[in-house]
Amino acid sequence: MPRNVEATVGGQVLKHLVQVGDTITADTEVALIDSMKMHIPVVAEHAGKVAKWLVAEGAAVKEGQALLVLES
Amino acid sequence: MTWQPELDDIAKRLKLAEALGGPEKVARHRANGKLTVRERIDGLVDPGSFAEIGGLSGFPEYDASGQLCGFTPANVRCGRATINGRNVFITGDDFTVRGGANDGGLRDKFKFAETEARRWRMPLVRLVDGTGGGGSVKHLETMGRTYLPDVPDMTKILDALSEVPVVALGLGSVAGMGAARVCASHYSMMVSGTSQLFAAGPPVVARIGENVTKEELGGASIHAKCGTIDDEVASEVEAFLRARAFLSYLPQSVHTLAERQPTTDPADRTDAKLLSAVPRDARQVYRMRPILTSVFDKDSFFEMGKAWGRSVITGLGRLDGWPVAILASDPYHYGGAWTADACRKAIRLVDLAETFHLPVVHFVDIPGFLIGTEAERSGVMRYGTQALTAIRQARVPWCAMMVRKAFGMAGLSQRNGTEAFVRYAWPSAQWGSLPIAGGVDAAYRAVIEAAPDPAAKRQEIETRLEAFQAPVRTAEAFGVEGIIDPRETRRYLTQFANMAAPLRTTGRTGFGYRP
Repeated sequence: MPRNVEATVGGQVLKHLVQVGDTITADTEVALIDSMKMHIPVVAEHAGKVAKWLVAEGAAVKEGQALLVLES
Repeated sequence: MTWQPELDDIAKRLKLAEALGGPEKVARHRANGKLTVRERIDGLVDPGSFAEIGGLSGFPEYDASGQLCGFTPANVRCGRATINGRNVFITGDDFTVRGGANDGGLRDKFKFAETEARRWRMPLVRLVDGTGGGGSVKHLETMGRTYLPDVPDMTKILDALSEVPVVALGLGSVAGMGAARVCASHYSMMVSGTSQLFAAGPPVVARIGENVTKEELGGASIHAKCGTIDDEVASEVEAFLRARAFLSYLPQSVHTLAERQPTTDPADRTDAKLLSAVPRDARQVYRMRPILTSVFDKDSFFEMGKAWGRSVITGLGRLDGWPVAILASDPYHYGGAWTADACRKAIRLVDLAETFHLPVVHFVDIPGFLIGTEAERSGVMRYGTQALTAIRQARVPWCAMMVRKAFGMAGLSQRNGTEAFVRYAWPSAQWGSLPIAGGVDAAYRAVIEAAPDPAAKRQEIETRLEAFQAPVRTAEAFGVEGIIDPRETRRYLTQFANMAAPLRTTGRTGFGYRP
């Protein structure tokens, strides 16, 4: 079942920390978001393989917005 | 002539009660991945310690000659047992009898099971697997009338929360009264996949146009993320283990004090990693949980409410064997800013600590209450003010460890109003009524706008002000009691716990506990 990893805070996507094809575990930091003058990592809640990024580096995201798709 | 025939009859009845709702119902229950009420009780309590009360109660069938020919036990099973060698009272719903619904129980037994723990000042563990209190609307036909909503002994049931620890496990689909019985507790859990909770189930919800499954409506992860319950667990067995662990930190009631446990962890143990735990770069976050596991007694940090209000970490732990409540910031979520949910979670922890006289340790990194339109619409200032009030109402000894930020009104949450208060700062700490970056524009607007190079002027002012932000400047004016080597944090905390222990007093709090 594909699952999305969502932004835990609104802000600007500074950096992708994982790439398409990477297999990640739950608790992996997948992206850094610049928010409230801090670089806040988004942590995956589930394990899986990164299928697709939905937002580019530099893009503004809202809290709860899907950042990437994970395949299990 | 002995009384053996009567004893034989009782043994026969108890054997019938062991069959619960019958082999078919029990098989279906197990096929759904659930344990029976007897297996649950056995899995929860110390082996062999359960002494059932009212095991003969239920619904007998007698033949024409007056001989017992069938027996369905009441679907409330209860009794005394021990957990970690201490007395507890257990009540469990039997889903295999009438789906755990009220009409498969006995009113007096329900009242007894819910209030007996309070009478004997011992913890209550509720194993909830019932559909609710009302039973079925079919009752209208048998009763020929209806009645105003009430729950027998509701006042006593809720008042028990101000007297004894109550743990509730949601172990099936629970609605209405079943759902409220899960929430009316100090610590609650649900099991992934096999337990759901709602005010009303899918058939009722369909009437307002929502067609959803039980899991979509009220699955464990939904409620763990919004704080309806404290934690989602992977299995019933995990729920039993966590219930046992939770109770190990608490006293038997508000009328006794939590016991110290023996520990082999040295009170002055240092940890070199703590010197670099907080990054020098203010934009970088760090993980708070490894700090907590390092400074509390080995393996004693017990987190509660991990999935909701996530900028705040709440839990229990031990320091030199003494149980304490733990409040901490998690900068991974909103940089540690307190959301409305984080405030509600902090209230829940502090009220638990005050009710059961547990000293509080607060690891502070709070940039403020969350700001922005979403935050305002969530009522963050209302819940924030409530949290500050709950903290000031708490009279338990309190230790603040200033790890990084403490700004604005949310920064007041560092401490309560007790005189038994100690505070230490790490060198990484910084604080103020508002952060420099946000405050400079507001305070120096005219100066900045009048400058030939406004950006350079802003930078110049910020640099000048940052020099005043070092915590040592505050320490010079005795605005903070001490700045410590983070590696030695545990030594200060264990000293606090030992100073706090004799100051704890028993009795009810000035306010009643609200779950």
